[in-house]
Amino acid sequence: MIELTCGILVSIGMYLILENNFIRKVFGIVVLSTAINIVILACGRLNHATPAFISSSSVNGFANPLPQALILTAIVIGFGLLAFLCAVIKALMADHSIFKQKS
Amino acid sequence: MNIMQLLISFLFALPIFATAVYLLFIKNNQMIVVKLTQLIFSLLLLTLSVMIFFKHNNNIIIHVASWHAPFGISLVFDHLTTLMLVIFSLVIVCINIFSFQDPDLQIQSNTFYCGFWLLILGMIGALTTYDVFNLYVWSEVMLVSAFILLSNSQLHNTFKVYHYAMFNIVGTLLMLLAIAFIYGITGSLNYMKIAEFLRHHQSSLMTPALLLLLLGLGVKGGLFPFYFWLPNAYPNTSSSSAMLLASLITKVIMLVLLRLAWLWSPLHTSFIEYLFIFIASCTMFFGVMGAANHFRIRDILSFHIVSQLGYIVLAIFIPTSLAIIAAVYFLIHNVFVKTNLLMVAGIIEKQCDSTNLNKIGQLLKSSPLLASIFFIAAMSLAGLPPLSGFWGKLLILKAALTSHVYIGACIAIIVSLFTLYSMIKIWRFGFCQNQQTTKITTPKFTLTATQLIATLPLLIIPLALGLYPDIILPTLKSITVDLNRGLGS
Repeated sequence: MIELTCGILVSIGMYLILENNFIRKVFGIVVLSTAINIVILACGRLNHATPAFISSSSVNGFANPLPQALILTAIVIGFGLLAFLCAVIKALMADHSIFKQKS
Repeated sequence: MNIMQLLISFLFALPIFATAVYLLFIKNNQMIVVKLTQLIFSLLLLTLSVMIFFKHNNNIIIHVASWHAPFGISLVFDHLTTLMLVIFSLVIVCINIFSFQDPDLQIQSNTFYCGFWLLILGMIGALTTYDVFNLYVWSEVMLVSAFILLSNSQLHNTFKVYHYAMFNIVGTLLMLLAIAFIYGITGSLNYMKIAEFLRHHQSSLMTPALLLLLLGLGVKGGLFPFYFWLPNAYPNTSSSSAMLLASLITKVIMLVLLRLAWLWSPLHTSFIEYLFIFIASCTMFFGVMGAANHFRIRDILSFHIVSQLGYIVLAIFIPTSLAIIAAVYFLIHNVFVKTNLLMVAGIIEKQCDSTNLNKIGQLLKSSPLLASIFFIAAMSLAGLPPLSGFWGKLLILKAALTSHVYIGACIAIIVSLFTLYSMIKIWRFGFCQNQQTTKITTPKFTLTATQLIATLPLLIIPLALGLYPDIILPTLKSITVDLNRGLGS
């Protein structure tokens, strides 16, 4: 089920990126990066549910902490890139000449 | 902590420290302070990388925070990394000196230098890391600094920056998707652990994941179907930024590709090899055709960047030791010569306010010294015999012919011819055109001391490499030994 969700989200994201519209492209990147975060979680070998603290009794069976770290990094980087992209599009909007050519 | 670890930590600390200094302490109008600190920082970087190059005798693996391979991130300093660090820091010192007289940078110089050092940090990280996710993070660092460098210009290039941002963000997202798949299949992010898994397991899922990773790297590295952002963005920014981006980002991606192609055995299956030889041939051919079609010097040079990337990719995906030597030699030659040509274009732009070949002319009479620098660099790029470009192309052709890649070799020869044509076009129109036909008349000018100090090392080093290639041959041979082993010791 989760695989299907990821596939649908990635294709929605790609479709929106390929549209000829600034705002849709931004939404496409948001959807695509979210979908990729879900893919990391789904591929992440999260087989156990115990928190990743080593207790004195056993060190087996705790959850893999790596996917969370990867997703956290990916979210932060993705958000930074998104902020830059919005700033560029705002600068483009201020520069009317491009929109005059289009319409 | 021994001396090597100390040097390596300084190597990472220096760019971070420099970025912080320019962000926090230095105001825009303090040009003398900026120049002085820049000079000190870049010479420090050069000293550090030269020391690392001469001190290390076998491969050094650093486990960050003492977490070993499956858990932590490892940084590897082998012959390839240390050699390329020296080459890149040499070029960085020259670009740095050149940037002191760049008229585009007089207003926002400290923002430019923030991007400058962030890019260097990303370069060092991406070259040394042995962890796929860490590679993604470092390539993001390079991407963000490229945004800073591109948008820090007085040209109206917002739309070009938007193109660049769109292509590269999608490229990195594809790369991240591929990394998620690779982690899911192999259960590891470390290059060597993944290589070990690939040697012992056959997984049909691995080929699509690797192709996706190569697609991401191809978009970011400017390969065939996705190279349009490169000649769009690089000519439309300040010339110092263009030099820095052209000499670092795509070259680092090529080096990563070289390392992965030799480490991960499925990348040398015949399907991926044929695909990439096709992509390399198309990159070479369409790049040089784009160059033939343009009339601004910086546009022509940017298309040539694409075309030269094709040569490097062709050499990377030929599975012989000779091809490794060819790829690394050609890359080194290309970093020096291309930066030198872009510097000449920058000087022309400063003197004539334009690099359009229809408007400028007579530069041979205005400045014979500039003309001779351009001539040597351009003939080296085209690959005329005694110069470094000739040996690079000869090695690639020999590697291609011994591995029976005849079509690639043919296209490489044709592309060489067209490169010569472009260079002659710049020479004919820019330097020898008559007074009557030019729109802009340039008075006689001499190169300033800053310009000479910046360009001459970039002229002398490739000349030395061309006339006496034996100086780097031992290092290149140890690189092939390293890569052939997959990585030992």
